[in-house]
Amino acid sequence: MAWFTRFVNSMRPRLPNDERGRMRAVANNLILHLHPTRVPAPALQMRRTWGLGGISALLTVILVLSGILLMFRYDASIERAYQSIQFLETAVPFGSLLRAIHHWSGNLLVITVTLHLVRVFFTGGFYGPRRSNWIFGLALLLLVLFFNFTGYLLPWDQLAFWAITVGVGLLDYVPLLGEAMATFLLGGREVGQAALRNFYALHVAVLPALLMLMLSYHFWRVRKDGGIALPTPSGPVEKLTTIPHLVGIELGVALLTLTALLGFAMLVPAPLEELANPAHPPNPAKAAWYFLGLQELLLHMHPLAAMLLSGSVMLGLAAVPYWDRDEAAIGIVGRSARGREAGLVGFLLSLLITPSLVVIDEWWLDLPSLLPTWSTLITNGVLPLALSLAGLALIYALLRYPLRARPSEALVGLFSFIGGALVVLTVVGVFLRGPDMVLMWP
Amino acid sequence: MSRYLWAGFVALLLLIVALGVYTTREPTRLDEAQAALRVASVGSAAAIYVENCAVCHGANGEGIGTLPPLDSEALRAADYDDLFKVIARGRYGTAMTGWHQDEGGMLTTYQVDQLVALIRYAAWGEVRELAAQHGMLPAVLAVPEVSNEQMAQVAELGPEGQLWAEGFQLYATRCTACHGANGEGSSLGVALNTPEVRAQDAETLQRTITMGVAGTLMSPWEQVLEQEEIAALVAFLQHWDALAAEGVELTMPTPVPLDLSDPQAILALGEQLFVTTCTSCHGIDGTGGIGPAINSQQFLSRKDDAALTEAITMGGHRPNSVMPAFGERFTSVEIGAIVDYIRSLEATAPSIADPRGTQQGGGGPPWLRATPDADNPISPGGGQGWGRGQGQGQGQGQGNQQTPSTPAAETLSYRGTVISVNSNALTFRDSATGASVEAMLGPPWWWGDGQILLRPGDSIALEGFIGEGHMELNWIENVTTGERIDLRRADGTPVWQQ
Repeated sequence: MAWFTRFVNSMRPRLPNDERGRMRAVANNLILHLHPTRVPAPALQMRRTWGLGGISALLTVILVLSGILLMFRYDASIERAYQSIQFLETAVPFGSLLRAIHHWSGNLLVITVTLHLVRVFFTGGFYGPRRSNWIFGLALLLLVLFFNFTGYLLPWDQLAFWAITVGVGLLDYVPLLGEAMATFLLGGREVGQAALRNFYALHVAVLPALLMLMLSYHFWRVRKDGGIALPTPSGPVEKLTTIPHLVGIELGVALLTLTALLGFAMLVPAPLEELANPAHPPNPAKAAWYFLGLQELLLHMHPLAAMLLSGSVMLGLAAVPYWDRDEAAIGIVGRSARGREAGLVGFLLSLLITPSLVVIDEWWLDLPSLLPTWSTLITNGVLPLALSLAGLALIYALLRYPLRARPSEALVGLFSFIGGALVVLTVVGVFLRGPDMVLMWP
Repeated sequence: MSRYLWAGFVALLLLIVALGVYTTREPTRLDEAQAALRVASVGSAAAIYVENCAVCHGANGEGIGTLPPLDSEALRAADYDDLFKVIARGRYGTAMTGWHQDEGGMLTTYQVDQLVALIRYAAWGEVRELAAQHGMLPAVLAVPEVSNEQMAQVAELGPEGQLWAEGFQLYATRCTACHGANGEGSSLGVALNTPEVRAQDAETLQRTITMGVAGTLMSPWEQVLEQEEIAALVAFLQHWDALAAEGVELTMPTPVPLDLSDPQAILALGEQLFVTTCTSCHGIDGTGGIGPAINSQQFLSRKDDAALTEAITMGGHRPNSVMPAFGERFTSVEIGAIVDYIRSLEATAPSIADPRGTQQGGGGPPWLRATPDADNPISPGGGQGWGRGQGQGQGQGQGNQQTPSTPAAETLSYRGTVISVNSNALTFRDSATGASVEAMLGPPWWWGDGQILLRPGDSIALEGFIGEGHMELNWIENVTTGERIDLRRADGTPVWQQ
């Protein structure tokens, strides 16, 4: 394959052969300037990041490009939106592929940014100066979810219409602001023309602008905070030039991702159901899959309690850098062997406890009828919320004391528990809920 | 070069190959996607068609009277633009109105497109079937129902009433589609329930109906209706105000889409079809008649749904079977519903058809309703009286030579009014306390057979005793009519027992 290497080398931009020259090339290039001119050798190991941030950035670029192309054919009116998608699917060469790429990238992005958050948490990448970027990252995650949510409505098929109707319905339970937010989003009380135009404007103008600003800041902070979080070195660290070492890996991973994504998109077209029909709700009417964990939670407790529970988890995540100041083992997955143990225990406990609770609440325990004299706000809201929070506190205490984990290690366990619970709830919501949201085997 | 870059380039090569393959397939894929879309559109359009268009163009697009058929080669070959415009905007000077929302209709552009697809691509013979699969049932011309009471009411209006009633009935089935349920007229036909029409003489009206009106949708009816029928129609038209004054009105049935995912709705449809179609041969509830009984375990346990479906669709397969094939008459959805209904009978079906002994109902004779007493089981052969009326012997029976001259319980007397009689249970209001009391009359075949009439509101007097948790009667008198019967003999045994 020597000829291949020669061919690739000949295609490569003429780069200076000396290190200084290559470093200058990075510093003087707008895009490459995202990187430092040299990176520590350990930072190049795949297991440090699994490339999740980079893949997410690549997906964002793919989404922007494919989205721009889709805009040429899409028509944001309820009379023609569905037909324009049908036209794209049946009459435009590569239209179906284009839509599939956009659709699957959007869904994949939700997964990769979530895993990115998990990776950063496990390696303790949120201490000291990284605090602000951690919180910014959380905001970006919410932005990506909102992006997906607004895009979900655009095809104007049954899936879109009812997922958004259900999704915006969740907002009504947010105290004080919820109803105003729902009305603002929909431009009225119902999902109609105003809602479609609002969602389109948000999806193609407002959110991309916001994402661009926030993403730039996110990248800039990564540079300012000294790249990815690494363990404190015991001796001198070898530093390698960004070109070719980092750029080569990035290009390779990008090509692999692109191939996998396009291959999948070619095999599995984006779903398109029948034209939206406000008179015929499907049964069950489910939100988009990434909200099904929350929808599942709503089946088990008062909406306000579910909102408070997920809100406190988000707040807890945001507060982690201020709560846990144990900066001893940055860059090590799970912080230590004991931390990894705690993480495993938390995750396994979650796999055990969450499904049991779902089943118990579905078939045996009915608090409102057990305590008929109490208000349902208490029996269905305060009690389950208090029990869940107490359960989380108990898990934390269990990891902290019987397992003798330090606070940071116990937090890894608690995080794994909550993550596991979210996965279980989402799986139950996606696969195990049949008509009337009754638990059933698929 | 790093191994990631290597892997990346290999992936890129793969991607290029895959894209090449995809590109060669793309034209075929587009064709297939369009074909699939046509199939889906024709299906949805069939439901729209049955709901909105079938009334004029016929259930299978065959046209009605002077209204044009849609099942034609010329229309298939017509331009998309022409078809779309006619459906969307209507045809000036004809009965075809504009159906698009922009023209005051109810269809969206998307739906008009689907109708165009129906006209161009549909196998018209299957439109009924397609509509049924989309929940649009029944796929027939909807006409208002004329009840027997209405017919009787009209017949009593005057010496010619019988004729008017006949005309009224004819109007309901033949004319409402265009002239409206109550002659108010529509975009298809003029109003008929007007003083101007009534002012015309019978001959003019008769001629109009017989010959039709050139240049309008009014077709000549002479080939469809007899002259006597037209005369009845005319008589009715001329006296419509008399009918309207009596409050005789028709209401158009609205086609209600069936929710195919709702098993209850399917079952209800099945029951309705079974009652209207199957009971004439197979008997009420399928208990048998000219045709074999199907409401039995014997039948139902041996026929699976596929066998039932086949029998209904293809007709009976035995040499002398008179079971017709219903495959042409019903859609698959309807046949499925009938099968579902028949299957639902299985849960309560007797093991053999029409068994004896289950007709009595009402929980059996009163003496068998005593709660079994485990402490005092009755030993058989203990005495001479054991076979006879000892059932209410309050557990101390044991077949001894006791003399049950009076019931063991205290005798109670009431006066009151009847609230209701349901099988063997009498509910009456006690005039002393105002409370409603329930008492057992005994089997209806005994007391109901001309013995005593108990209508709600009748004053009654009675005497009874508290038996096994409910009141048994010694005698009851209907004070209003003066009828009186005894229900217990002096020894406490029920009168209806030998």
